[in-house]
Amino acid sequence: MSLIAEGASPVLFEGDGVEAEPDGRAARGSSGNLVASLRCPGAVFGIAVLTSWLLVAVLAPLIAPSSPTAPSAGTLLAPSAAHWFGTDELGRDVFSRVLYGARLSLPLALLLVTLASVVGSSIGAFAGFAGGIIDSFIMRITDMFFAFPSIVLTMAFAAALGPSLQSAVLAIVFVSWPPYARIVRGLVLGMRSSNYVAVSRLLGASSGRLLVRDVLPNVVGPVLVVATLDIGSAVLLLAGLSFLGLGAQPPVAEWGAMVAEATQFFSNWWMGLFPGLAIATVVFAVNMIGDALRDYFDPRSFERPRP
Amino acid sequence: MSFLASSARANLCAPGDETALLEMKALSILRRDRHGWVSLVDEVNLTLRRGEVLGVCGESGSGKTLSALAVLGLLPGGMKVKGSIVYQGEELLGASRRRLRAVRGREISVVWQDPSTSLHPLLSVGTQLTEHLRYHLGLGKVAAERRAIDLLGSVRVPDPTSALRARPHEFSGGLRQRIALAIALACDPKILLADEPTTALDVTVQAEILRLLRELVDARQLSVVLISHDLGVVSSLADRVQVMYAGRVVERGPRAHVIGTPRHPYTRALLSALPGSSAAGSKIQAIPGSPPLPGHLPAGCAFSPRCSFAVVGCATERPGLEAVDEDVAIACPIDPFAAGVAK
Amino acid sequence: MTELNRALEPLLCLREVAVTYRRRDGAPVQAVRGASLCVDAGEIVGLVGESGCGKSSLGRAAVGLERLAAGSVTFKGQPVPALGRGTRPVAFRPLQVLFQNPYSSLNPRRKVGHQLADGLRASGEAKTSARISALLAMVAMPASAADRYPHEFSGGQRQRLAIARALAARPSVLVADEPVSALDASAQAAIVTLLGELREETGIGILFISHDLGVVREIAQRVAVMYLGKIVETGPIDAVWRDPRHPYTSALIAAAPVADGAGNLPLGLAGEVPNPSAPPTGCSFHPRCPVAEAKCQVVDPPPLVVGGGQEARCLFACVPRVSPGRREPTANKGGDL
Repeated sequence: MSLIAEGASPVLFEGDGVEAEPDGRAARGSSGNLVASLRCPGAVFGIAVLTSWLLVAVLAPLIAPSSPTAPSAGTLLAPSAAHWFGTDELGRDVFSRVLYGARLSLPLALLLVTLASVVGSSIGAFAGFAGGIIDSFIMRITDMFFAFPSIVLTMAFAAALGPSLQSAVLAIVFVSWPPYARIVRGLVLGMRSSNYVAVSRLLGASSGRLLVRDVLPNVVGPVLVVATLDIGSAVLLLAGLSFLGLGAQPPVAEWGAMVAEATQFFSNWWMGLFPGLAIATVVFAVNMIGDALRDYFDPRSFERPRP
Repeated sequence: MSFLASSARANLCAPGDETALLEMKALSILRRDRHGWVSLVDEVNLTLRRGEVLGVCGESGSGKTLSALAVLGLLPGGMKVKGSIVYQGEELLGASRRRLRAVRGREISVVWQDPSTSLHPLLSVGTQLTEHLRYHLGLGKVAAERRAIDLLGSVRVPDPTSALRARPHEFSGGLRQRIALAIALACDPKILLADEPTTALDVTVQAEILRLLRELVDARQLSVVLISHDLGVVSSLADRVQVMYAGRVVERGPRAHVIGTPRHPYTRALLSALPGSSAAGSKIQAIPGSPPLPGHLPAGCAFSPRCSFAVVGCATERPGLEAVDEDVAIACPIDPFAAGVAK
Repeated sequence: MTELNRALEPLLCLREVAVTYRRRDGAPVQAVRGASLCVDAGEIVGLVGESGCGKSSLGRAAVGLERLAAGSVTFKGQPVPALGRGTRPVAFRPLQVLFQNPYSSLNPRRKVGHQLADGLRASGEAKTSARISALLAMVAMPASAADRYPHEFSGGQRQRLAIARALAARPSVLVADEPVSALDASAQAAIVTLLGELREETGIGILFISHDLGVVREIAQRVAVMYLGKIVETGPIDAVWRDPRHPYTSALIAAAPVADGAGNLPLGLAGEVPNPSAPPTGCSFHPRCPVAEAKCQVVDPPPLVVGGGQEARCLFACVPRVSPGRREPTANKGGDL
């Protein structure tokens, strides 16, 4: 309720006539401090985990003890020295399958997010620059896409193209681009009326130069943050679709598909647990990195000493 | 660091002066940063008597607002506060939250700089006024509303009855600040802390608000701590003035002395930087350098790196506030503007 | 306009400029209602007014950041194009702007040196680090500033950087919109002094927009006072300050508190600024004017020439006004005791 009764500290706004606090020390937001912000424990952990998984994805053929698709031992064996994660219902080594799964999930997730962010940002930037009717039109289309649940759309794609990893990827890109469009359009609109853009234009900058010099540096930050956090969602979505049978088809080793198969073998806990953990650790790691990036890019995140 | 050597030397409010309503002694506020504790306000004293307006001047970073916030326990988190703030014989620093809540609004009230953020945007003016009256004075709804209408009248808001139903954004900046004043004075507090109350207003509106404040002070024997970076505003309204720099008080005394014939080099420099206050024909002078960041003060006088009168000792010896005249004290052993000393 | 006329005309001329905004509900608001003003090389013209008078809109219109609803803005005789999608023609690059908020006029994600280089490109100069260092020196900033980011500097320093960027384009006219309002007294003094020196050294013309008549008095040679979208008084600054011929100018002067330690309360002005979408009939100041008469409600006074380059939109402009209670501060402010 009232600020005074509750004793809440009101916003101290140093507006016209009073100079805001000079921040002589480099606050977060300068490139020099990207490394510093990524040094926080969460981000370090995230980077370590992600790097490990990327290494696994690259080196899987070398380090996997058995083939991911061919049976290598008896069926439904519990984890042991020979098979660290046990075997599944067809006798395939779960450990190898998890390792090979990384080769699918990670690159696909990265590809998904890259595509979605590039497509979305371009659409959003175009809408922001164009303004007026074009902007409204594009935004209404964006809203339409926002309204689609990804599962429904994927099922539609699967029906049309046949269930496969490719159709799952396409469907996910289709539903993932709208947030980027919205963010970038908002940023561009805000920047169009900002003072430094006005000055740039008065100094003779062309629209192209404005885009590259003034708009892009301010857009990259937020988009990167969203994209990083989106990687986690992409992995989950992919896994989810495979779980529903709409993505990776057997015998491909994909984490989501593995979890799907494991639902029928609940008592053989190792079949679902390890791929599930793999998904969870990747999503967690990526979220930690995304959080650190968000703090780094937030211009208002540094402490301001009061007068 | 030495304060007044003896109360006989200066006629400033000595500790224990029974007419002092509010006494702040050696207030220090520190903030935590990576390397430890950084001092934002350093051993500041402040005395406020009944019915007087004390102007606290300084630029941003001088610690003037923080000192005022400390009185009501409104400091942001993570700060360490030392010293003593005594209101009518009662220590407020470290008082219980309940006691502070009882004091805020009832005994000591605040008016902030920007009425568009200090007033609740969604509640009607009437609600914001009456909640104080009902919380502190226990008035019933009808009595509170009647009183609220009187209050709006005393701050000269036109058509108070319909103003009660309106929301703050329907009023201009000047009217909003009047409403904020009405809210602050609703329960007849003895002290009003006014933090840059006119900075966000146009100059003609500011003049009206200053006149209103003077009326309210005279009518209610209200004591005001007027915090402002604008020396003109302080010169119009204050009875006594203290000037702060880098968290320390550098000059204190009656308004006519401190602003009319300042003795501390910083006060002089500040006045010379103002347009229109220098003698006709002389140009404004900027102060070279910039204020030090908290935690990066020189060992001695905080102003010494920018002072044209500094000698070797100034950077190493921290000056205390010493009386130099009847009622005037400055923190400068050099005292270059003393009467009879050539500039 | 002939070549000769063009050569004799002041650099920047605004004639009967009107700027209209549309509010969300479609109702038009006339921010500027027919203002005329000129800025010549080597002179600083102050544009003074309180909030809502339209001075910022006028400043933006002067550089083409706002579309004109009426009137014209010419720079070196050529009409200034509104800033559309295209690139700003080279001919108009010597017309630059300086904004109030030093925190939003520099791109937070680009190094200072790069932003100064933008200015150099505008004037066709080579973007050498020597030139950038020279520009920084002109505004008393160290050369190392070029490699840093705007947020590493204080407000006053950022304003200097913004001035350096504007200077890089070799402007002949600078429209400065409240350039010192967001700064502390000391930084204000420094920037005001800097602008004055620049005028003397480079012959630049400046339209100095401010709400503070005191600051304008320090720096400007001529002043224009604005109220509710119209310029109500113009003239040499000393003449207008000593002998204002429009009641609003008198009110502005009397309302400014003086830091002289005398404890005099400044004089206020009754009433409120009218809603710009519904201005009063006749003279827009009459509801608040201490000397208004019946005819003021009917007649909208045109600018009346007072003499000595001073004009005022008041039916009583030719009657010297008794300046209400304005005391000149006593002489011992900056001098000896």
